[in-house]
Amino acid sequence: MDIEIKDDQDVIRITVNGDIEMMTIKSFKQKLFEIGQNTNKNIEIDLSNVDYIDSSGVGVLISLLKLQKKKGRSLIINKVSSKVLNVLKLSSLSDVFNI
Amino acid sequence: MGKDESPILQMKTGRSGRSLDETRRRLLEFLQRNAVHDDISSQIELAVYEAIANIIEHGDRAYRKSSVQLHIEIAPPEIRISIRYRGNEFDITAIELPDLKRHFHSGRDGGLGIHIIRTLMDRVEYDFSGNSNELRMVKKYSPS
Repeated sequence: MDIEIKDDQDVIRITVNGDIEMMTIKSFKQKLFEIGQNTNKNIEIDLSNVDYIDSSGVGVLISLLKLQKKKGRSLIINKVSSKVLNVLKLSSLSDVFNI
Repeated sequence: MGKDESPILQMKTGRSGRSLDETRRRLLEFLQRNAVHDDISSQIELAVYEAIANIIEHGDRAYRKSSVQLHIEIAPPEIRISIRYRGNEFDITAIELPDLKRHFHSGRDGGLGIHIIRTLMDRVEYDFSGNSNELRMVKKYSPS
């Protein structure tokens, strides 16, 4: 898994490529929290190149969403694969992320 | 495999992320080889993954070197899954499922794996005897 970060004027755009699971969760969590803790901008995440996300990966997204809300900023998942969408729906989170 | 025999996958997996990744790959191959529909395959993949991940992350450390045994049988009108492992008793069927939105808003993000397993599977059963655990899951399945 790798993560591309594009720091635009008002928003940080993150693209994740590869699966988010036990083998990659540490790096995923570390990078997302680092971004969340060091920015005051809105964040957009593209998960269209992620075929698989487990419950720990969803937990990281929830934590980042809470961190953004505390700052009065947003976290938007703007693109998502069908498999990831299913997991977010199962977690009752698809509407929380406005997908 | 004889004409009337159900396809079966039996394998042992170590308690590590690498082993779990390999298990997930072999499980998907088995389901695809037997023409199980993608939706059902994905649901079984996720439920099995979450169940074994739970054992790896929260299981008794004293048994960290003991393997987890996975048995899957495609026997329409259902697919039967059994996961056996050694460790302390932990009955995921006895846990009350939270309202997830309220749960997350209250600041917690755990418990999702168990929710996923119980939501995706049509039946989940658990047995504990001695130090041996067995989690059985059933998914309804009709070949098209």
